[in-house]
This record gives sequence, structure tokens and C-alpha cells, in this order.
Amino acid sequence: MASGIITALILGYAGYAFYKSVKKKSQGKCGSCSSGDSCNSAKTCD
Amino acid sequence: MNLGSLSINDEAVIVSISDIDEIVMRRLNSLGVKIGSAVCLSQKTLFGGPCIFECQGKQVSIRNKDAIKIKVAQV
Amino acid sequence: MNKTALLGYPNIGKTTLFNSLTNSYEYVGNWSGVTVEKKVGNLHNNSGKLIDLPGMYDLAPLSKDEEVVMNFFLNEKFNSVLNIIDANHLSTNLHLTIQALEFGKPVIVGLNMVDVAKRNGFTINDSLLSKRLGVTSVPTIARTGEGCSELLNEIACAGESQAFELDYGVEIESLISQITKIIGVKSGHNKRWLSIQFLLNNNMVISYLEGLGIKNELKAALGNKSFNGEIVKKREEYINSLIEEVVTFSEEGKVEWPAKVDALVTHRIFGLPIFLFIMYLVFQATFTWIGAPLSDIVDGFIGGTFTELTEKVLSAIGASTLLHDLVVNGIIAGVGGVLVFVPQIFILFLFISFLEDSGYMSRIAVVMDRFMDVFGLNGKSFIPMIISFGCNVPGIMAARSIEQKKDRLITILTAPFMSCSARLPVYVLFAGAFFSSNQGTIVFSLYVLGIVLALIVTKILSLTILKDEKSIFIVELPQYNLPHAKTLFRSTWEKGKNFIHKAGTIIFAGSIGIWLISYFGMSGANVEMNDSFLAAIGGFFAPIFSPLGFGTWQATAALITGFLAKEVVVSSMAIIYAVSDDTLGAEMIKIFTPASAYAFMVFILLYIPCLATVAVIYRETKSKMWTIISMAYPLVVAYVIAFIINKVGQFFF
Repeated sequence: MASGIITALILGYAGYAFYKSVKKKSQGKCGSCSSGDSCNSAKTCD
Repeated sequence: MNLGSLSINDEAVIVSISDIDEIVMRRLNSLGVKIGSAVCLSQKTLFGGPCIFECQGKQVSIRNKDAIKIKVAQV
Repeated sequence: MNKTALLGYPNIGKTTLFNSLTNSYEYVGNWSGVTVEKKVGNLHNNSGKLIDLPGMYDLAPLSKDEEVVMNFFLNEKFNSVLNIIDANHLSTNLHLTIQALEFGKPVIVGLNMVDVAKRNGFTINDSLLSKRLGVTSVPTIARTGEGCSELLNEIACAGESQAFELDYGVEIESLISQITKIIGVKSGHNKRWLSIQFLLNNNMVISYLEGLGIKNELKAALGNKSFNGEIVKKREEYINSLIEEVVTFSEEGKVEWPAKVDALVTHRIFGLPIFLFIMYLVFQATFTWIGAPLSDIVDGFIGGTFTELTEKVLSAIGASTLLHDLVVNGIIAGVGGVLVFVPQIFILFLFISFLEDSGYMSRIAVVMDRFMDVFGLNGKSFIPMIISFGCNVPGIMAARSIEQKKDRLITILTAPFMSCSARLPVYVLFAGAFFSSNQGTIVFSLYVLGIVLALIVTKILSLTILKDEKSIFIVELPQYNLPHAKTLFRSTWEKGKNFIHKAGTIIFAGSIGIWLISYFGMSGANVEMNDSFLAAIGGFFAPIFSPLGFGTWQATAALITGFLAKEVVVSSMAIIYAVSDDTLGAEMIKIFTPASAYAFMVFILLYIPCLATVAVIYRETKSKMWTIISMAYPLVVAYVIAFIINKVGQFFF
């Protein structure tokens, strides 16, 4: 029983994480942007 | 005499700038490089690559083909 | 909400000041018109928001990042301007200050780099400067955070704007009043500022005014004359008299070392070898000296202690076989296989941040320009390329600082050949297994190969499709500074946390997805790996890669998943071979030959930009055609090169 619930939770999170990352990525944001911040390269954001 | 023909550490004053690409010209202006500015050549590179010169305490680098269009008078 | 815009020349420490003045990046704003990210931060004393604009020389835009600033001035609402000026170069920086003052919003001046100015022999009377300009100016040293609290106070109590008018002489003044009259009540902006920018031929102001429907009237008033020179001259006269008053110079205290360093690193003969040597040191340190031992420690922890602990917990709660396999073979193998590389990636980012902050980057542009000219590009393109070693996305965005469209486009198209940190895990895995005695050199060779191919593609593009535009080069070399530890760590963290974040999201999800399709097959659950869906999908495409030496379904499946994010390639392999990372290498030796392993690494290096990079290419080029080309041509190049390497490599390895 417990196994079933944990498995379902893990799969659920994976699905959610996948959906969110692909959505952010397809807007051209790298990971640091998709975590809510901006790309911070001194040259880019100077 | 032009900027490109100076030797390293030569100091000079810009007399005229002509026939330079519009974008390069405007960048030069906003960096304070214009007629009457004192310049000092600080570096040249091999094979006609860019040169570095100092102007009002700023180090600026442009290509040799642009540098030869900046006429200078040595001081 | 009080909003302050941060304005100033490039390379004068604006980003550093922004970081000290704000506590967090609150959000990334998409400004209207161009979709370009700007950082918005909350000021420390909660008095409002600070908006970090790209560095710019003049309000009349030449490059794309300068358009962003002008667009912001014309279309966004804000309360005041924080203008950072370089104390060493008042004579140029004040041109921008005058334009900001003319805009009519309250201006606070941050007089930055006063320490460097002192080193150069300048002393600036800042209270007199404030009085003459009618603004508050605060001396600051961005790197140490000096002056930041005063700046915060000034921003908080920035009140009404002070009237600033520079007399441009009879002819121009009469034109200004004419244009002001024509604009009338049509615009909410300062009409004098608009008029002056119009007379300066600022193309964005011109199109803004055209948008108000007063084009013809303006044309009639202006005739065909250009007033650029005269206006700039008046400003110069004013600035020179101002500087004479407020700046004192003495030769004493002037430091000579920056000039000596420059004489060396931009030396006509030694400059290039020095650059290559520095890059080689960076890679050796990252992959061999520091990074590899640290990675081994992480590896030992995940594969050993952590896995054992998890196994215990799982059996304690009586987990089913499905859950056990999911956690151990899916999550730990997949995510852990990638986390092992965190130390290496952080060290690489630390070096890139150091190069960015120290001022060496623009020297690289000079050193490389003659070389790049051969290929039809300019030295500035080299900076986005180096940033791309960290991540292609900011690298492609850094191409904005390149003035010309052609140069920018070529840089964007070739930047994905620069090997980003996400591809590193693949190299380290394979180089460690097949070429363990000279790992550093093998990895370095991949980076070099990426650069070489980028240059060849550049040459081809500038000889064919984009041949009509010429390339220009002008760059300012900023003063050297020793990066402050705090700034360095912050910017390393900003870049690197991306990677950790990905481990928890896309890599986690990818690992589970791959595990799922490797666990299930036509005949149900827990099938033999060779009968799984994953094997079927991989096997379908595998024959394509046979000539390259890795036509197995395993390698093919890993390649397909790599489009999401390149790190997932390693996760996939760890899951497919159902081994922890430290034995993955041993498993690889059975399947690949050294030649096909090298061919595989090269294919990973080149084959396709990852999803995020493709999207940013589209955003920056705004062209579907170029985006498709940017995905398609690397596939062809990768295939051809990997083919050659596999065939030729058989004789060498």
C-alpha cells in the first residue's frame, strides 16, 4: 500500500517537473532563468 | 601620418577622421576619440591586426584598416 | 511602487552594484516590444525596485542591447534614474548623464571606481560635482560595496526632478522650440529631451515621433541638416569646463602594473600563446587537478553510503520491487550519475566568472580579432563563444553586444558548437573509461574541435549566404580589477545553481521516463532490458549510427534523450546499463572501442543544440528559417565528422 502511494507520488512529481521544464525551456530560458531568476552572465546583463 | 603608422608609445593628436564606417565613428565619439584628442599608441598586433591606443585614460582597440583613416600629428 | 532604472556605460561595475543594492532578483521582466530579460531586484531598504539595464554608451542605439534601454525609456514607467559613472572617464560618461538629466526624471549619480581613479592619480570633488549638475552624487566602490548604503538613502528620498538645461546655441535652440511646439500635448515625455534626441538622429525617437503622426511637420522643420556634431560639441564644452572645476590630477600614486600586464597579454607575439595557455590551465584545473578528485568523492558517496542507506529505508518500509527498482535503478542511477559532475561544473564556472570580472575578456577579443577576421568575423564574437562553454543560452544572448547583424547571426549559429558544461559529464565518463591517462588532453581536444568547426562554418557562411556585409571591430578595454571573492562566488553560484536545479527537475523527470520505458515492454512489466520499449525505439534508429561505430540501441536511445538536456545522455546510459556511475565506465569498455567512443563524444559535442538553446536562437534571430537551420546543419556536420573519426581513429587508438 505504502509502496503504491510513494510510487504514485514520485511519478506524479516527475510528470509535473517534466511539463514545467519543457514549458520554460521552450521559452528559451536556461535552468537559472527557469528557476525564477535571470541568467547572470556579466556580459549579458551588464 | 596616421594612427596606424605610429610606433608603440608614440603620442599624437588627432587631426582628422575621414571615411570611417558610421558605426565605428559613433562608437569612437562616445568613447571620447575625436578631432583634437590626444592619443598614445600602446600596442600593435601582427599581420595588420587591431591596434590598441590610449585616449583620455581609456584603452581602445580598433582595426588597422580603420586606424590608418585617422590622421594624426605627432607631438 | 517606486521604480529606479540603473543606467551607465558597459563594464563599469553596474551589475556588481545591482547585486549589492538589491537582496534578490525578484522576477525577470519581459519588456514590451523586444522580449529581452532585464533583471529587476528589490532594494535592500524596501524603498522600491531597481531595474538593471544593459550597459550603453549613448541613448541613440547602435546595438540590440542598446535598443532595449531606449525602449525602456520610451515605453516603461519609472520614477528615477540611478546613473553610474566611471570616475576615471568622466569626460565620456557625463555625455550619458546629460542625456539622462534632459530626460527630466530625478537622477542620482553613483561615482564608481573612485579607488581605481585614485590609483590613476585622479581626485574628484563630488560635492562640487553634485552642485554643478544639480543632482546628488555618491562616490562608490562597487567591488567592496562602499557607498551602497548612501546610494540606497538617496534613491529612497529621490524627490522632484531638477531642471537641467544646457544651452545649445541660437540655431539649435530655435529648432528645439519649434519641434517642442509640433509635439505639443501628443507625448507624455519631456518634449525638450525628445527634440534633442530627434536632432541627434536617434532612430528610435524618430520612429516614436513618426508614430505620433507628426512626421511631415518634423521633416519640414528640420530640412536636411544634421546637428549631431554641434550638439555633441556643446556638451563637450560643458563637460570640459565641469571637469576642470571638479577633478584634480597628480602623477603621484599612479600605478604602473596594469599597463605592464597589458603589454604582456596583448603582446603581438605572446598574446595568443598566453591566451591558449590560460585556457589550457583552466581545463586542466577543472578536469584533472581539482575537479576530478572532488567528483570521485561525490561519486563514492552517492554510489556507496547513500545507496546503502536508501536500500535500508526501502526494505524497512517493505517497498515493492517496482518501487525499489524505480528509486535505485531509476532515480539514484539517473540523477546521481549527473550530480557527480557538479564539482567540475562549478569550478569551470568559477574560472569563467573570473575571466569575465577581471577585464581579460575584452583583451581576448583584441588578441583574437586578426584571427577571426580571416574567417569573416570579429574578435568580439569570441566572448559569446567563451561564455558558451558554460551554457549556450547566455552565450547566445551575449552576442547582443555585437553591432552588426551578420556578425551576430553567425555567432549565434556557431555558438552551439562550443561545448557547454552539460556535455561535460559525457566526456568525463568516456574519457575516464577509455583514455584515463590523458583525460584532460582528450577533453581539451573536443573543445578545440568545437572551435575549429565553428570557424569553418563561419567562413562558409561569410563566403556564401552572408557575404555582402562587412565586419567591423571596435572595443574598449576596461581597467583590470581583481575580482572580489563575494562577487565571484555569487556569479559562480548564479550560473551553477542552474545545474543543480536541473538535476531536481528535467534530469529527474527524464531519468524516471527512461527508466519506465526500459522497465516495461510488449510483454508487460519488469521485462529484460533488451525487450523493453526503450530497446525497441533505440533499435529502430540504431542502424543509422552503425557507420559511426555506435549503432547499438543503447547509444541511440541516449542520443535521443539528449535533446532535452545534454546531461540526460549520461543518466540514460546509467539506467540502461543498470549500474552505478563508477562501474558505468567499465561497462562502456565492453561496448565501445576507443575510436567509436571518441566518435560518440564528438557526436554529442556537435549533434544538436538542446531545447533551451533552440528556443533562445529563435528568440534572438526571430527567424524560423535560421532556427531550423541551426538544428539541421549540426546534425549533418556531426554525422560526417563522427564517421571520419570512427574510420580514421581505428588506426590510431
